[in-house]
Amino acid sequence: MMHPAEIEFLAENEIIQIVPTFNHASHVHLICGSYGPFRAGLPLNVPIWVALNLRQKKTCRILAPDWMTVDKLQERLEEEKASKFFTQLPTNYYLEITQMLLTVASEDIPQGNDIKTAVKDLWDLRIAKLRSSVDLFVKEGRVQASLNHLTPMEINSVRPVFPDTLDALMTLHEHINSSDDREDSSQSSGATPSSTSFSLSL
Amino acid sequence: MVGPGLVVQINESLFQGKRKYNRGRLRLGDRKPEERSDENEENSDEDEINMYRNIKPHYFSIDAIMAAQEKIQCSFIKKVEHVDFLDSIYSDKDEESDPKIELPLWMVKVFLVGKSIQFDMPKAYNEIYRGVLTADANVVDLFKLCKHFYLFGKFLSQLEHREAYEVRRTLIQTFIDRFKQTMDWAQNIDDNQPCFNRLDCLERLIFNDARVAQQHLNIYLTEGSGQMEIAAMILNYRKRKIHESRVLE
Repeated sequence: MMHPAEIEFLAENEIIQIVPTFNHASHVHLICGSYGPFRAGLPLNVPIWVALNLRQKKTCRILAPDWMTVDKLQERLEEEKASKFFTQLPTNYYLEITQMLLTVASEDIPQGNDIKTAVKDLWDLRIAKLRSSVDLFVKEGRVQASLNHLTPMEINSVRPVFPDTLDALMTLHEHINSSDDREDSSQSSGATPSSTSFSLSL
Repeated sequence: MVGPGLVVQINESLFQGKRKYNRGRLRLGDRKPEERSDENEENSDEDEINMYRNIKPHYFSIDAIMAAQEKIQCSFIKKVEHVDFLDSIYSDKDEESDPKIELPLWMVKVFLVGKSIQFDMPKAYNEIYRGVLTADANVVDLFKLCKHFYLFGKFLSQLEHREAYEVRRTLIQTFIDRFKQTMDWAQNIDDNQPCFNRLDCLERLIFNDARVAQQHLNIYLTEGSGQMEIAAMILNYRKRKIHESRVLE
């Protein structure tokens, strides 16, 4: 199980556009890449953590990502409602990025409150979908499922419950097999036929 | 206790595990060298243990031992000798067929090998309750019915009994039916003590995990992740550096 803060840490490496208010002619060399040069008034790409840091020192203005508008998010929401499966989102960290940008740079993002609501709606919808598919998976006793386009934060919400549940269920099943086997042969079967496999693919 | 010329043994001490640079207290965690025991991890230790905890019962599992301790009503069908310590009421004669007595599961198992005993399914697993659980497992207060419902049921279904197969089926079905409810309770309701009280021990483990994760998420969503802290290891490292440079001077 990961802590939400750890996932936020991963999200901080996503690239975002900023408009600096200072000049810095040379590149800044970071482990995640080189960024620069910084020219006042000209937009450039930097990782979110750099952007947030500069914004907190009030030396730049953050440009909201393309998808972070109320219209685009409503579109996504409709698409998500219409689809039976999970739809692909513009970023894997939509919830975290919105949260970070709106806490630090709420003045830079127009309609911040509406965006927050829209993102929360999207999250709720996807989580509801995820929960019902997890429930279906357990109820029908399936052995394999493939879920595409899930974001790390969403996976993290079922992670503490799901593997343990399957584990418990398998232990209950295992004994049926072992006592059924007992009649025809006393060999201990190394691989039980019901060994549950499960794959989550992003 | 104190005085000149008096020798007082205070206690035995534990010198085991490692202390970084001979600093800090010895902690219980140091007994297990394979586990990380950094100073700043006292909070997350609990989570880690939860995460790697196994649902499967094993030899030392307290839950499994407790489950094997549950009583079963049974009666002897053969004469068994040298076990009159079992029940003082029947101590004047050896165990005979007619009286019903309650024995713990692990003991029943032993007698079953010699086929000298027969038992009835305990209340939680009899036909009536199986019917109730099949009808709607969600309304049953499992903890009241049997603390280790799944474990004990599993042990029971391994014994030779004509209803064993039905018991197994019911166990699996009950678990599946109640799973959604357990998950919903854990993730949605703030005051969930009444719900928690109705769960079986196995379900409680899962419930607690889900609960902790959900709380982390809620805190994150309302308060954000907060400031990063410097790892204690790094702090110690700097202290050492200063110390070393002083020695060099």
